Amino acid sequence: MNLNRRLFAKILASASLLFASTLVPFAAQAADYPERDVTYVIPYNPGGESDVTARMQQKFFKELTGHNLIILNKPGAGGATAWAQLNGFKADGYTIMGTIVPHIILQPAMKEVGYQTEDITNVFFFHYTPDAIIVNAESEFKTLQDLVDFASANPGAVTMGGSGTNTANHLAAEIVSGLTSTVTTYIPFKGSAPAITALLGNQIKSVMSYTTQGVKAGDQVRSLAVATEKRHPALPDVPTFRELGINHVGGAYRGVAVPKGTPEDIQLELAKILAEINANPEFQKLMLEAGYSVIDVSHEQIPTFMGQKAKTYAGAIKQLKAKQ
Amino acid sequence: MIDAFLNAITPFNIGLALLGVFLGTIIGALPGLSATMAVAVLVPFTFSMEPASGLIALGAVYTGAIYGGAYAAILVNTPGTPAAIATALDGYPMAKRGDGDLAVTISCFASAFGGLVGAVALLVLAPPLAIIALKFGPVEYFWLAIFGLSLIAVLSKGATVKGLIGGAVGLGLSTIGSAVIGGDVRYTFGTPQLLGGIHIIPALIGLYCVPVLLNMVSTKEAHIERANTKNSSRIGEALTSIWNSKFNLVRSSVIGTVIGILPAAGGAVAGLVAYSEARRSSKHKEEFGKGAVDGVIASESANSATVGGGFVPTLVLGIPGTPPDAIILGALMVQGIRVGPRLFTEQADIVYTFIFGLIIATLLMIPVGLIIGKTAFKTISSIPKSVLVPAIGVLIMIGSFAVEQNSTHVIMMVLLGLFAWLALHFGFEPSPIVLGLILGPIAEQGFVQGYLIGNASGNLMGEFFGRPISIAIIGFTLLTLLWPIWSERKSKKLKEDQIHE
Amino acid sequence: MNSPFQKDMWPALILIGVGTYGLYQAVSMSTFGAIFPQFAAGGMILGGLILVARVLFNKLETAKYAGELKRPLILISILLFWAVSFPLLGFIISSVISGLLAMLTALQEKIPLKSYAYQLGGILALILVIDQLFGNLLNVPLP
Repeated sequence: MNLNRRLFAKILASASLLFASTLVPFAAQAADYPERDVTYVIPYNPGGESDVTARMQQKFFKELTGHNLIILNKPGAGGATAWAQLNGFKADGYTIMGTIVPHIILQPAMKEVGYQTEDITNVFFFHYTPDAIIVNAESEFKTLQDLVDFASANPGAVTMGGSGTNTANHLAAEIVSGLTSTVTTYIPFKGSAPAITALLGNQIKSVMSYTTQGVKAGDQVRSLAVATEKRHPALPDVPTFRELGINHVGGAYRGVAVPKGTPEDIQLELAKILAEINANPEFQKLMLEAGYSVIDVSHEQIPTFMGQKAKTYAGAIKQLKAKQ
Repeated sequence: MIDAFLNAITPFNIGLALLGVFLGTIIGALPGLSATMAVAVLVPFTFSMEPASGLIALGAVYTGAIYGGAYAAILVNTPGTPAAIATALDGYPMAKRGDGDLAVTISCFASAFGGLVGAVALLVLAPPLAIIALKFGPVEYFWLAIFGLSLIAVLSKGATVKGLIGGAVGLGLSTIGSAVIGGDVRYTFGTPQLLGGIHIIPALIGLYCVPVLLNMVSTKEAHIERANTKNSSRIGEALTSIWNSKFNLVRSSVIGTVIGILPAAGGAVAGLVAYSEARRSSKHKEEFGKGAVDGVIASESANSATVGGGFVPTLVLGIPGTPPDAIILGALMVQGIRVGPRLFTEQADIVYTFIFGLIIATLLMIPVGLIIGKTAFKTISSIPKSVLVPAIGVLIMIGSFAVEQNSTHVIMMVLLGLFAWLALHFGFEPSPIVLGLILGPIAEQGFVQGYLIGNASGNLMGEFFGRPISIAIIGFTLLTLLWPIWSERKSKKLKEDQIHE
Repeated sequence: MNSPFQKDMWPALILIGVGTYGLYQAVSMSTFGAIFPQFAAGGMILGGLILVARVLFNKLETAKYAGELKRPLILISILLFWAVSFPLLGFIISSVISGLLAMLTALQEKIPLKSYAYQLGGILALILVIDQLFGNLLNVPLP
């Protein structure tokens, strides 16, 4: 019956047109993202590594998208306060939050912090601060081997300071102790700065911190080793752990996360923008000079990345939990 | 150095200093809005300025806020900022008996003097002072905290047991949350909100301001005496009092500077220490707490001195000397300023410009303070309680929230306030609790770190008792504790001898 | 020996109770983490015991509380409501409600309608100013 077929064809055509037209705004949505300023929540106070790198991104974000990245500091409980609140924000892509690995893996594993690692929807990781063992410039330890030898001969006598308990520094200290079969005494401090200060005042023998701290302290300290694959341009005279036979590459990886439920295409667009900032040579120069290592962990790579990291930390986490 | 000075007196920078002091004073004067919050909230504005100018602006606001806290303390008995706690102890009684304007003027001059001492110390002595600060290891901090806690016993003469209990409660409260050492999660009842522990600013606001609010609605009488309309703000009288108390003034300023240099202490501790020292060495101890001018002078000069003093470790070591310094430090990092001893050599122009700006701001405090003081007294004493109570309510809500944009803090503040009000009824003053809360973490970290270090070097006893600075601090603590007993015995003996004659 | 039903008995008992709870919790903490809580809890218990002794054996002194209790209790409930509703209702709404209630609580005498309006206006103005100031100028997001 011709009438029916024509009617059917018409209905089909208009339905497809309607359907296609609904797709357009979605596609347009992602392509237009961001249409206004984006709030970037940083779980730490101004001046810390997360905050400083976020502010570096700000400038380039404005150039790329024409919109502002507004930084909001929400410190508390080593970052846990903000991460526990992440999924309470609107999932429209206009509120993003800084994240750090190993923190978001370590914290929920060690105690009840108000969120689980799976609750954090990571979009992109854009740099890491490699672990570094630092001693006072006037210290007796000229190379890492000196430190290791002393520690082997005097178990527990080497004091190694770091920021907090059950944190990235603590984890790194455990990992390196394990790999060198030595026993060091970890001294927790309330942040990197007090630890470095104690080092400068010769209160402790060494510090497990980041390359950025080594760069900041300059001539007053000597960095014994860095946890990167190749030597870091900001610290060219410092050997890597691998060169010295210790297979440790890692540090604190910082990235950006969004509330659960943010549309996938917005996440991809955000990841694209962040990757473009990372590719900018000016941005890279800023980061490298201060001791950061720029890396790209793209949206697709994140699940593998997180899985890898969780496996790497598993042994040390067990050790730390046993000590609790 | 000369160009740094010239840089500091550019119209823009002077304008910043003036504006900063003005804004800071007003913010500090409003109960509930603390110096820390003032600095925290204004920091983003400085990012677009040049480092030196930004620093001057922040320093000026900080100076003004610490001073401004005296207004709320004296006129409303709600310390506007933690640093003004000790000011309220005698300032408010002064206001109640009609001497509020005198108290305000005295704080103005005392603060200016203290601030100058602190700023000059920063200018002249920063690097060497910083080296001394480096010698303070965990153990020294532990003994310092013990010294601070021993002040509780001194301050609460007459109700010593209750004071010490307050201190124990404060210590207990400070353990709530995730510990830096050991990583335990303590006393949080499983709620993630308590993971960060009790934040000091909402706690102080709650412990001090809320009971005052509650007391305000419990009686019909007016809050403070209306000012008898005298024209002068009693400047002459104020200056005479200060001159009579010059030794106290200098000593308190030095105490403030020194405590400011030691990281993490801050204006509140400085004010209380100076106050207790002033009381200890005063010939009229009984007057303290009832409106002794010396108390106000001691507290205000000390807390203003912490501004300059606090910048020493902040700029030279990268460790904040006081809570607002922590925020300013962050701002500096963002501006790309590399803190450290080299700051004074490599970026000396910025630092010296800033210090000169700070000195100028402190001096500007005098005219600004006097003017605001006159109006403040008149206004507050004429605002009816029915407006004052809700207004202060709004301010304390905002003040607790805005420090870290955390609404849990607001609830914390109210609950602590309820607790403090009840405690007051049973004879427990809030000051010991506050001291316990502030010094608890310092004592604990110092103890555990010291223990670990001492253990690692196999010399535990030597670590705690053998270090020169520690010995000095322990000695001073013992002196402070035993002096009152000894001097009382001495005077009793003298009296007995006289009677026997 | 005095009767145990004195005012000071309350804090003494509460202290002993809280202190005991503190010690109990401290058992499940790591060695280092437990030191200070135990110290503080022990201090509380000791203090509580001393207070009990004082109540039972010392000369009695009764401190009078001047002023009524009703209004402060109302006010603290208002403040609690304010703090809790702060994130839920938003700054302006919670402050207007609570501010109004607080004002009524603080009002001790009847005042003419005009002053009433002025005072209310003043408070509302304050709330609006702070909201604008913090929200727009200072970039502090109020709920």
